[in-house]
Amino acid sequence: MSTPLLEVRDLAKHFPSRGGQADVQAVDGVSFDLRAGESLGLVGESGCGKSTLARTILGLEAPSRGTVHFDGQSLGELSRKSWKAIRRRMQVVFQDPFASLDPRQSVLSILTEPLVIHGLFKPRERRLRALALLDAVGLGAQHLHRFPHEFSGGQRQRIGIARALALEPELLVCDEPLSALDVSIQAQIVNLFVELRQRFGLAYLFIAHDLAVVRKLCDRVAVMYLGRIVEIAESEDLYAEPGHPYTRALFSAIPVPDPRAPRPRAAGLRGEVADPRERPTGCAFHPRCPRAEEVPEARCRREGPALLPRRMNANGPARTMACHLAPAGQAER
Amino acid sequence: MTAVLEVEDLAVSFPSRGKPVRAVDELSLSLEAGETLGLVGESGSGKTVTALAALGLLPRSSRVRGRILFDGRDLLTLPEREWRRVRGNRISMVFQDPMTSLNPLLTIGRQLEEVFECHRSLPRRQARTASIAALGEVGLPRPEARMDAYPHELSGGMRQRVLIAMALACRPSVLFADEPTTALDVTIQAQILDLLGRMQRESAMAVVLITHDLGVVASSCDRVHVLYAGRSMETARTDPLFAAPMHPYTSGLLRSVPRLDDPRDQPLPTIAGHPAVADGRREGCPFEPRCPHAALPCRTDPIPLVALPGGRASACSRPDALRELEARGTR
Ligand SMILES: Nc1ncnc2c1ncn2[C@@H]1O[C@H](COP(=O)(O)OP(=O)(O)OP(=O)(O)O)[C@@H](O)[C@H]1O
Ligand SMILES: Nc1ncnc2c1ncn2[C@@H]1O[C@H](COP(=O)(O)OP(=O)(O)OP(=O)(O)O)[C@@H](O)[C@H]1O
Ligand SMILES: [Mg+2]
Ligand SMILES: [Mg+2]
Repeated sequence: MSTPLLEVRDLAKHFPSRGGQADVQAVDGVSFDLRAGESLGLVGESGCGKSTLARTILGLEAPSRGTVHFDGQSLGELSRKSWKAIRRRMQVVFQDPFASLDPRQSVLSILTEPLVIHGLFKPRERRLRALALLDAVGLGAQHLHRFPHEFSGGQRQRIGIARALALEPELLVCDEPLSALDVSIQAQIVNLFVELRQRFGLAYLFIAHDLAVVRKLCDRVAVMYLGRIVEIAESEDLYAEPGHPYTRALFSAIPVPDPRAPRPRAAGLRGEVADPRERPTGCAFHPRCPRAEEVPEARCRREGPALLPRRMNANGPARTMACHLAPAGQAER
Repeated sequence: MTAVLEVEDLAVSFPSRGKPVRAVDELSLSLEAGETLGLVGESGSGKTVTALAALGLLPRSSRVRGRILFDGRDLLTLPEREWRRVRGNRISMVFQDPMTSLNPLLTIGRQLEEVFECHRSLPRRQARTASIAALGEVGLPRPEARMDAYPHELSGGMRQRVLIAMALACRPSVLFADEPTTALDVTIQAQILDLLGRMQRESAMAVVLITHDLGVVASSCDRVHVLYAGRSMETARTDPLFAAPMHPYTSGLLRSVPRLDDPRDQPLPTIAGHPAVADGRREGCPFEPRCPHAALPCRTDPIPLVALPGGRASACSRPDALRELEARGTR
């Protein structure tokens, strides 16, 4: 197999605490691969470390441990200059279209700034490039000289995406890019993400709480719990049958837009939401797991389960899971 | 049932360089004790402004007309010093943006304690105990340890739960919750919505739930009010609204929600065009430029909210055109 575009190995980010408390193990040993052109969803409990993981991959936080390789190059060992070259190839879209654009810059200058920084295109061509970018996100030329406050939330998010596309990245990291938008605009942006992927062969690392959107956009989905990945599977498989008990709880809590449907509830989740300062022993999910008793000899409490392949296909493992329960994945619902 | 809060013909406008922005236009709604009213609509349709009006938090520059009745008084005429007894106490709000509504320089514990000290006049010690309990109620792990955390040390979802704890601290009669669970994962969302439901049963708190998640509306609202460009498009009980929307905008919204059983390889249906600017145009329907059923009168005639059987109302001059289309199964 060819080198993955992104190779994350045992990545960890711990934040020191004040006052002698234990460190916050926001991300604690995450490994996964992302192939070129692939779209990987990242979901999980609020506070489980999704944003921190994304920020560490992007080099916005220094890892406490582990490595990130982009196209075979180790990001930890790069010189400033090579960093700049790599940064061109991985871009980010944040949740908040309001906070992420400079209110004093016109759209033209927002879109050409990355080109100037990286010395791309002749000055005269940059304007044309900006127009092409606007067009790619479904905005017309009349918007070029307007300022962020003159746009609706959806339009601003499009501008944020256009800016991220300016350097023709191969990887777009999106941290909840849709949650500030209303439904009709969300649908437009979801379709835009799908289209951009088809047109430019972009790979996505896509963080979202809306699992229906993730299903629409992602080939594979990684489920995180307390700083670690507990399950990665191809979307079709995962949505047809969530494997890990946490994934099941998560999926059972999805609200369905139908008032006749049963009220969503997090099936069987016991006890308190987890705290990354106090990682439980063994499997971090065991105090809340509805099925921990099924495993003999309190193994879930004593021993952390490894992330192991459960089902293979042509691309490698179709489902990987960290759970002591019987080689399920096929377990009954 | 008795209404705890009644909004009558509310109109809010903001001066701007051109024509004033008419953020809310002739909006009427009534809220019963213990019920949850969903407020949905396009970005910029006036949801937050409506809530701010009911909390007396609109900027001075705004112009407000209409009445908001609470406890036999019109809140819009309340002097500021009396507001302090109502706001945060009898009527409270969870704000849309958790980062700007917490003070970055104070620990979250201090900020919560202040609520208890000011509104419930608890001494510091008791305020602390009450604050820890309040954080536990919204499912924050290890609430006692979190008391000393600063807002930036919490994840987005944790900050949101702190705000919810602050808003519920005084057991208000009316809560405006502005996108309270948008930043949360679905399990914590379910937990928060359960908590709100429990508080409603215990203390008959009424909730105005502002959200763009129609799944949340379906699972937790008794009634829904659909806004567009500051105007009411449709209002109905939740079940009939989802079963048979009577306004093309509502119908468009419902269609564009991604569902878990959609075909994965087809684009989502969208509502074409861009959200309207609330420019205060009085004639015609504000949704007309994006409406698939629009006809000439939609642009020129006044389109009032018309009462329909079953306690619903819709502001569409061509409800039959919509019904025809729905019948052909385009939903
Ligand atoms: N600068 C920081 N200092 C200390 N702790 C931090 C810091 N940033 C994040 N954390 C902690 O790290 C954990 C993970 O936070 P992160 O923002 O990555 O979560 P998340 O999965 O993105 O959550 P959400 O879905 O709510 O956005 C949280 O417990 C948070 O409190
Ligand atoms: N302080 C203000 N000055 C001028 N215009 C304002 C002000 N506050 C709100 N507006 C305008 O009033 C209209 C309604 O805004 P509001 O915040 O109520 O929308 P919303 O329905 O809450 O939207 P969203 O879903 O994006 O939060 C918008 O056109 C907005 O630009
Ligand atoms: Mg986050
Ligand atoms: Mg708002």
